[in-house]
Amino acid sequence: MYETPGLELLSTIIYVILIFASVILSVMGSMIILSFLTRRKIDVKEEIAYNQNIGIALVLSSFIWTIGRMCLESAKPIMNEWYNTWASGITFKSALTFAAGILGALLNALIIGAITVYLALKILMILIKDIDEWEEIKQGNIAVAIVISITVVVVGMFFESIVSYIVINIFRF
Amino acid sequence: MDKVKTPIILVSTAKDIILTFLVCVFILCLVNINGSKENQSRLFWDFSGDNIKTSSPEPKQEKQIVRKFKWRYPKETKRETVFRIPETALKSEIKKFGVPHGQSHPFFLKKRGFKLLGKRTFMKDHIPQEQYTSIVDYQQIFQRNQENFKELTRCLIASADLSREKDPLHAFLSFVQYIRYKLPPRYYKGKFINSFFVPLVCLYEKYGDCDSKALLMAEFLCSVPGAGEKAVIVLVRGRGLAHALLAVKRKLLPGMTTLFDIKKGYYIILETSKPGWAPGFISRRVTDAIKAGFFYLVALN
Repeated sequence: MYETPGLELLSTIIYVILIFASVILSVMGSMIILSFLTRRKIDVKEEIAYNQNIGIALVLSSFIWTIGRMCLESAKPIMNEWYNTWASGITFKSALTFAAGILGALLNALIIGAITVYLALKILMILIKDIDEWEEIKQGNIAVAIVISITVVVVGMFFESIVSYIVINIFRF
Repeated sequence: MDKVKTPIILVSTAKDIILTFLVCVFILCLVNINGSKENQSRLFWDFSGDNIKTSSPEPKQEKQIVRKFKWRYPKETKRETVFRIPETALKSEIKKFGVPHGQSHPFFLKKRGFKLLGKRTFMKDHIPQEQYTSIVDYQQIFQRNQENFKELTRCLIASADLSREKDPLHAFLSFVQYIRYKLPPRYYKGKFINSFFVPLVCLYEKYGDCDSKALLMAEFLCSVPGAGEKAVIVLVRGRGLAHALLAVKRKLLPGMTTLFDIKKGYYIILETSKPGWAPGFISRRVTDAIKAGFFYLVALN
């Protein structure tokens, strides 16, 4: 069996960093997107921590799930590129390009996640015109929160397959 | 008339004898002037009947077919590999694989590089008929070609500038990925080949499909001296996919897609169809099909 000194350790470190970055990005991104979508009418932290609003928690969880899945979908193409870079021999330039690629890929996941969430909510709001969803959720209407969460998750499932293809093209570019 | 002819014949015979004598003298002179003792002996050896074997002309050099391949490894470095495929080996491979039209007897199929999977009985014009389902016998073809690929692998290693300690997996994969992807015809040189090129023909034609390229990759990998590679062909059938991949026994690294055999350990999957995929990485669609269990393994060694 051939020895690849350093590759295993470095690959593990990069993979762990990627997973941590995905978690942080999905949680932070979801909170920002939620407060943007509610036009800052809802203070997410206050609603969850003090008011124990399950509706807000459900919607936030669905956002985290969707964006998290997008980020994890980016991890494989990033690792693919990492092994190709390793085979080429690591130089300062290639390391810098790879780091920029990682940032681009994660940002891409965040943007697609945000678009997915926005699209899902827009579709729902067009279908149910009479209800102000955010107001209902703020008042503790769990039924509305469940419908919104599931719509976001399902639309996210359709969109997550395209993320990896976009990431592969980001690295080729 | 006869009296006149005889002296003419005698004169011509004498001429011939003198001419032959002169030629012999000339040859001997040449030997004495230019040749050392060794050369003289060699010349005499050459003409003597006892040593015909030692001085017989060298056997004719085997005809070779030259094929050039342009590829990249790593990433931006352009490379060119020139293979010299022995014509006899190529012809023998073409001869050994594939069945003539209409020949579907199991014995014949087995002999010509196919493996029987089963038998299907169906009715045609109220008469029961049998049809055999078969796949390419990858193992048989792989083992038969090992000897042919030793020199070709040496050639590939030299063109990729690989050292003895370095794992050739990535370089070989890159080479095979750069071979044009095109589905081979169902019939080749008048024989049914089930759209599969044997490795030598794949190099000769400079194109191949997923299973042709996967087996070619296996031949290269397993022909590396002292490598002791373990390889399997992964046939993916299901979810609208019909694809073939190669899997080799390697250490699992983060992010890689692998298959685990309880007896043999981890196999990492290699995508040979198009460039860009590192060892252990395949498209999402294929991963999903494998995860769902729509695959079949063919052990090569």
